[in-house]
Amino acid sequence: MPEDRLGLFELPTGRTGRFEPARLTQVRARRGISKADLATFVGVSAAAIGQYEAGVNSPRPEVLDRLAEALKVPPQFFGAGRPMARIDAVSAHFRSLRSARVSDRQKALATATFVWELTFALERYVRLPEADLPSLPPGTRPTEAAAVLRRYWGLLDGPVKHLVATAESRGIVVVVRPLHEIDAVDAFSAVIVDRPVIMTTPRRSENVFRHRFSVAHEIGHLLLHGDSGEHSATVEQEADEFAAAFLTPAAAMDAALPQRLDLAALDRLGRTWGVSPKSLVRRMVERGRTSESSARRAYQRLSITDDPRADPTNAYPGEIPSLLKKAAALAGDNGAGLPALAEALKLSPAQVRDLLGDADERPVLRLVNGQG
Amino acid sequence: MSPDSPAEVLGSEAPGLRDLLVEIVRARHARAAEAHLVAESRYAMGFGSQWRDLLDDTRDALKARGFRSCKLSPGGHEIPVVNDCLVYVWRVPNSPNAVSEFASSPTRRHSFTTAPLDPALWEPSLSDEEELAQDPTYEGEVGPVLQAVGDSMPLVLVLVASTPRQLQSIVWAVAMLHGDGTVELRGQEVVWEPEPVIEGNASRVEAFDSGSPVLPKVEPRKEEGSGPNA
Repeated sequence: MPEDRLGLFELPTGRTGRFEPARLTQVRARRGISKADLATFVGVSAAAIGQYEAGVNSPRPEVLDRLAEALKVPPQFFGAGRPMARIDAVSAHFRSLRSARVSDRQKALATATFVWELTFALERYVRLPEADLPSLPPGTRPTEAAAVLRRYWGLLDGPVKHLVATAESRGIVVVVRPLHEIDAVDAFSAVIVDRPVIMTTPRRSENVFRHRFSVAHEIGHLLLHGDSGEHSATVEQEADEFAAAFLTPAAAMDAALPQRLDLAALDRLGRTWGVSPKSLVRRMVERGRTSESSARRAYQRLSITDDPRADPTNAYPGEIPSLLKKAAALAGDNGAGLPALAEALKLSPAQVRDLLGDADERPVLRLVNGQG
Repeated sequence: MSPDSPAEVLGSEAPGLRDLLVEIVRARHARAAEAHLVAESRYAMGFGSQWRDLLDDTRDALKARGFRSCKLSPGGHEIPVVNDCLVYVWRVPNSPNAVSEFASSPTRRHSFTTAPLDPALWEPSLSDEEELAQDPTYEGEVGPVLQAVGDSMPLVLVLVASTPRQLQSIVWAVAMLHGDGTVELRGQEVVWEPEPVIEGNASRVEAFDSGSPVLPKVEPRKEEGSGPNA
């Protein structure tokens, strides 16, 4: 029976070629195009787009082609019957509490679903590390969670080396997406069908210390907040506390922090522990080494000399995400290269390459006429 | 014979004075750096004016401990005297010739020709073991030194290198004035450098970027076949 061969994540009523309304919503959200704008481009009413997405009506074949053209996907993309990630804003931990628009969040989530679908497609050919995070009882404090995770991952008391590589080795998918995709929501994380995914931006990764803190913050969300869906300043503060305790444990800092606010000493310490001098000043306040007012002045002094582009992540091999690229390369070695992945996802090879974080570096070929 | 180092001319007062100077200079630097920050000045003149405070802070701190001072004319700066040595704390300008040109002002030149103070009935001490200051063998060591410099007090110059961002170093040395007016330092020794302890702590642990990253392990899933529809 055909149904016997359906995959775990295939829609039970789906059939390849049938229009899947959620696919239209997914790609429209990722492109950040409103229903009204899409309707104008395609030449139908905005209500018609709403009906397509609600599954009330299906677009005629010629409209489907225009939708595909407008949204820059192959027409087959809208077909049902392949694994699809469905997450909503409640399931993700958005960093920014500033007023990101709903469409911004949907855009970021749509990108995350594409990343998960790529991960799932790769898992048909390649075995990725299983997600390996400890279970914590409800109410665990961030500092306790940080200590538990260090023990669970076998990290010694010193600096966390190569944080991103470590997280990926434990089955967490980390991706850095272009600013225009998730700029408004900044970094965020979600567990999508048992796979933890951390999305971050070039703004977070242009400075290695900020990047590491950001990734640690998201790991804190994954550990402490699961899919609670709670978005509040308290939750964000807990994730920050986790990141500080995970990257710079209190006992180690008590031994290492200077007795007084010495920015040069903090700079050296930060370069050993992979954290910013600013976070070490915060740690000095927390450990009772300095006062809030002195810390404020230190922040001001740091801001004068702060260069956000200093120490870019790409200078540190262990802080660049590599899991998906490595998996794609291995899949390619085993006969499932980019075209196969593109076919599985019903995307173009260039779009798959983009999801893998590779710029399209193929030469642009142009026809040269006889006149030369 | 000319004195060779601050430790030689200061004798048992050297360790105590050293600690006191570090305390004075660091406190003054911290206040001057904060004042510079609060002023939001684009220029460092205000920060540089701490040179006078450094002199006064040192004089006051030593005066509070019973030490006397000498007034250098014509500037009128009061320079404290420890163990029959002038202790001049100086924020060194950022110039390669700064030290050799130290005596370019009449006041500073005067610091090389100041006669020792008259003996006092009671001599203060920065040493924990006060009796050492009265040790006759100790006086025997210093006596020839004073005679050798022509009955003028040795000048211990405390050189402070700093910017509004950081106190870079405190160094001391015995300053000698040559006939051509240039100044030479003898027995130069670092009194303080930023957080040497932290260097030790930091070097005991391996940095976050040391070694090769352990990259995630991926393996082919052979049993799933090789085609997308497998």
